[in-house]
Amino acid sequence: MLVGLQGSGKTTTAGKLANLLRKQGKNPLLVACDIYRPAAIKQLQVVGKQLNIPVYANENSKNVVHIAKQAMSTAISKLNDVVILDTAGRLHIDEELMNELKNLKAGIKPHEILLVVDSMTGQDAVNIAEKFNEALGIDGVVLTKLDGDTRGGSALSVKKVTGRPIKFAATGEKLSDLEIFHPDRMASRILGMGDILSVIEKAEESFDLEQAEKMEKQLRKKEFDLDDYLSQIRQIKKMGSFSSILKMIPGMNALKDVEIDDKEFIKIEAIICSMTKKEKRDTRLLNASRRQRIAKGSGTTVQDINKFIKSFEMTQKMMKKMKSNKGGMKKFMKGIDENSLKNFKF
Amino acid sequence: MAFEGLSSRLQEITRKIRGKARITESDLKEMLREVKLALLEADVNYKIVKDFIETIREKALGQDVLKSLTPGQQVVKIVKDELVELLGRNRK
Ligand SMILES: Nc1nc2c(ncn2[C@@H]2O[C@H](COP(=O)(O)OP(=O)(O)OP(=O)(O)O)[C@@H](O)[C@H]2O)c(=O)[nH]1
Ligand SMILES: [Mg+2]
Repeated sequence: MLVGLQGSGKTTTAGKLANLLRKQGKNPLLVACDIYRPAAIKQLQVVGKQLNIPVYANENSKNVVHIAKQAMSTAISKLNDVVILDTAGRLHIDEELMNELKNLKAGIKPHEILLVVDSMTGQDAVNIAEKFNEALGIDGVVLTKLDGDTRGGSALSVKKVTGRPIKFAATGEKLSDLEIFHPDRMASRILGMGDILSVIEKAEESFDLEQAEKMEKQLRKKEFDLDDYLSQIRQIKKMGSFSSILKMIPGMNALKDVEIDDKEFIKIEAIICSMTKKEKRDTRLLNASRRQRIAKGSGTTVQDINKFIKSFEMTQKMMKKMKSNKGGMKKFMKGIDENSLKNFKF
Repeated sequence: MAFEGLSSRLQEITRKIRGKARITESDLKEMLREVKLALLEADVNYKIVKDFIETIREKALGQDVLKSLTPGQQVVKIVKDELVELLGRNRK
């Protein structure tokens, strides 16, 4: 059961959680218990649709306990093993709405009540957390909007005040932008020791292991070519936006001025797909007329091609150096240094 | 990105102290004052900041950090540990 102030991110987080749980092999059901804001049910349904995760709603009922109970029996009959309740946003001073949550708690006895806290709230987060905890007894906290320029006060206060752990951190509007919260890594991030573990975890989660192994073998065998490059880009795209991944890598402060435009990936894909098999294997074949043809075929310019090929050849060199490394992805991620990252810009 | 201000302040503070071959009691005091300001500016609850600073002071003095071989690094480690504590140590 997700509770929290208006606009703190409950509905979005409900979707993100369902997404995360499904990745762990669960079969979640989302439940719309926000019956006050007209568009709230619709919003959750849109989220569910995007994720292809079922949403239980009952537009005709004004009794959230009733709705939640119906949802529970639906879950049992449809074999959903996790039920996520999205509740209406409320102010802690609103006694009526707080009572509704208490009734919900008493009515369905949720395994876990998570308080969703907007990390931009600052000092007030402490009061909010305290009040919600007093009224309901929360089990944990989800900090949202950590991608914004929050000063961080709430993140550093909420655990101490409630005695309840921060369980998840939301770092963006996309439905994949939710991480399990690791205090140790967050402390390292704050102190500038980087957060390489989170990057690796994210990479491992989205990285198709088989694909990765295959690629590694190939890399050992032969030179890194444009086909490999393409499948790498596609893997990275699966992990979410490249810029969001970059931000977690140590030394990224120095990279602030390096704009990484995820749209560039689409361009690169188009360029590579416009090449012949032979060209993909050996970029030395690319003379002026071939480059012109590729530019036409991919809807880019010859300058785009030139820039890309140059940056690719640098990457190729870097891969050659790494070829002798053992240890696969982890090693690969660790092996990325600032300079090689700059190569990704083209 | 979140924590940018706090992060760069704390990094600057820890960089300063990390490199020191010797730390005097007044160095420590000065550092704690800066950490306190950084946390308050980041909107951390005042009472929490006070406890935080007090714990670091006690630990640093208790472990005789000032007389040790790598005082700077030890102080930074204490700060890091307390920060982890504040964020909630990992439950297994
Ligand atoms: N940048 C960023 N935006 C977020 C994050 N989580 C939620 N949002 C945005 O915050 C706004 C409010 O999110 P909702 O999920 O609708 O919040 P809510 O708590 O359900 O709101 P109410 O139902 O009105 O109480 C939306 O525009 C979301 O896209 C996050 O982690 N990062
Ligand atoms: Mg909502």
